[in-house]
Amino acid sequence: MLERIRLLFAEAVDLKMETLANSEMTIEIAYIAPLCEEKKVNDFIIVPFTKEEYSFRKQLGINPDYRLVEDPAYWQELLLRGHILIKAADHIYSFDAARVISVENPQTQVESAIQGPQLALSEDIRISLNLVRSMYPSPDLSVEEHTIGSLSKTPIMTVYDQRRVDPTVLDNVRKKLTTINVEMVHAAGELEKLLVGKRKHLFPTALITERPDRITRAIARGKIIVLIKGNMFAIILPATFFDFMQAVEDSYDSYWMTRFLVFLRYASILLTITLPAFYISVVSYNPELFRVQLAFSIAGSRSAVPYPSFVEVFIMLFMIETLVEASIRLPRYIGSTATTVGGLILGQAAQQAGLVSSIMIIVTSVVAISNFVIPVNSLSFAVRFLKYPLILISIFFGISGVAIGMFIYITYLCNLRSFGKPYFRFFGKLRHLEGDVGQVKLK
Amino acid sequence: MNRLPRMTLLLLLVALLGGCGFKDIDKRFFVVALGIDLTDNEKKPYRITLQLAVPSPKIEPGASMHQIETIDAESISEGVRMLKAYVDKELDFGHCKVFLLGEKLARSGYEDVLQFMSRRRDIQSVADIAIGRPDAESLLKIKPVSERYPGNTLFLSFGSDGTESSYTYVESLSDFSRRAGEEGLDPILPVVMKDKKDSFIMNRTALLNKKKVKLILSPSESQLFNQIASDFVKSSMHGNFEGMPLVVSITEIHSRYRFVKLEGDECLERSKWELCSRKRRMACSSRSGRTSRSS
Repeated sequence: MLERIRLLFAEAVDLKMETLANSEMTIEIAYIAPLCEEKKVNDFIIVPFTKEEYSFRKQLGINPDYRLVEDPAYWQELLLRGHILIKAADHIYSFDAARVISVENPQTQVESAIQGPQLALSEDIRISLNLVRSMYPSPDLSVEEHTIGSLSKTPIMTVYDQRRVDPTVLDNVRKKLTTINVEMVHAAGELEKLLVGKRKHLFPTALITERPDRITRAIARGKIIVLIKGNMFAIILPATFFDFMQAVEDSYDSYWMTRFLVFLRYASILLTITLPAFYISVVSYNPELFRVQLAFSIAGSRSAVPYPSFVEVFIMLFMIETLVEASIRLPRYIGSTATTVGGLILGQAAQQAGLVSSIMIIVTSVVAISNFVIPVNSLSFAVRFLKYPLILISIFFGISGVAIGMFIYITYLCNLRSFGKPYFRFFGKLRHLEGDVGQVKLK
Repeated sequence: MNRLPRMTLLLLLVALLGGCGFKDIDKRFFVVALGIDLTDNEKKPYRITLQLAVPSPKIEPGASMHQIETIDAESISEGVRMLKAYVDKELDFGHCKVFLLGEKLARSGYEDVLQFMSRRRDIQSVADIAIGRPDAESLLKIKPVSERYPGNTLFLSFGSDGTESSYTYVESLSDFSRRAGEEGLDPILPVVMKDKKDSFIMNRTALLNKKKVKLILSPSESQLFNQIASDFVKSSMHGNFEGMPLVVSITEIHSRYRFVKLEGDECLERSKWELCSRKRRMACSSRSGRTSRSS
């Protein structure tokens, strides 16, 4: 066996191949050392074999952890997954000794909630599954395993409630998972893109989350969860636009406050998309929309600015976008410095230098802050882009252009489907099959 | 042609469309008040006075600055066109909320002015209209001491944001044109006068027919008119009660009136009102003055 394995692999010092002998028999073992837990190798193979307290041959036959491998074609894959191959008496056995390195007990970081579970999914898929299973202890929970990526061979698990899941969606997801043809998949976002299929989409149509409570809630509503190895995030599908606007805390906190927060969220998503465009169109086309006093003070503060309003908007938005981007990419300790320097000093200086008006600084900060109100990160990213087409339209067509632009966005949203389900479907007590216009059934 | 060049071409074509509408707020001259007078010149009968706001980033009492432009012209729109050559920025009537008609003009006929005001697209129909006495030009030149930003004093006097006086009748452009056009209604305009100092007095009301001013009411008549016609509550009455001077603040007014035809060209108005002041209720009926039939 060892000779064949040597031929199968490239020159690698971490590939361990040993021949062991005791009074009973001689075995050959092969494993890739960094992938395996050294302790397991010792406890399950080397020590019992050399101590001879119990017949190793019998042990191989009884213990189901030692699995008989009949086809040599699997050798490579098994070794690469952290298994140990054992050759004993003309039979080849494999033993799983994989060592998974992951963050210990991860806390929710991206979607933090004050109340509710603080534990996030783990990078170890088994721990994630443990969380889901323990929060959804139902015999109907079905778990399927798939592998994606011709090189990365990333293990993936689809989890769903077999009674509640929509069979057409399930078929669709299964088909998609088997037809995906890529070399590498490492992140949930990457897989989401592959699952959705369309390369250029404006909105995320599958929800990526790290919260186990959000996941179990989704399973109960008949959705499918995709867990990925080595990733703290899971994909929930299908998703509607309104799922993205919902924070888990909406169902934990008091009624009126959460309704107010929901309203706040929708108001701010509208603001973050339209405000720069409205600034341009009102300042440059319809200044009578302001109150007189505001019009005069804007005119006064703008009189120092040498550029037309849209250049001003582009200057300020460039600054804020680079600032946001920089504070995400920078290490956490430098990040706060960047925001201080950028936010406070740069804004103040830009206004005093007459590069932008003071109102524009308010507009920019409203746009930036209200963007962060969106609870799910992927939608917040998507929305960050939406203002730019509107700005372009507003330069040429003013307020009516912005209105038409918004109309186009809404039409686009209504046209979107998430795994065959309408993306922009309103929630509420509506029987969907009756309430939907243009309900699409998958073939 | 595939998609990308097509889109680029479309965008380039769109770029050609911009232009006329795009004008930044600081490149516009906001007209805050427009005064129209009648001159003695036959060929150029209208004198147009524009009160232009000079914006400043700081808004504080007394810091208001404005610029006055005056021109005599054959028609109002022509005058406005010609005035564009006098100023450095685009004239914008979007914030023009006060129109003053000179008394002479109002007495001779307001139809042309109304046509101009209701036809120009950037004039808002919520704008207030008043008659300026003795003329609009001199009134617009007044700089009230407390004014925060140009035109504010006049805006506040007319609107319900600032002072609410029982002597001031407030007329908007839409209501004015409705009353001027509709049968059975006649326009009513407040009269603005100049104080000896730099401020305005508006305590008279002019009654007009479909063409011109017929009658200007005195301050007390104006108040009475406001009380009867629009149930204006925030007012007071004074008189003698058993030999004691008494001022009553009114909290509620209900009035009813009808016109009774008398002999000849005169008619008499009979009115009955009910006033409420704190819990006291008083009723009075009056035979108020004779008015001519057209009013």
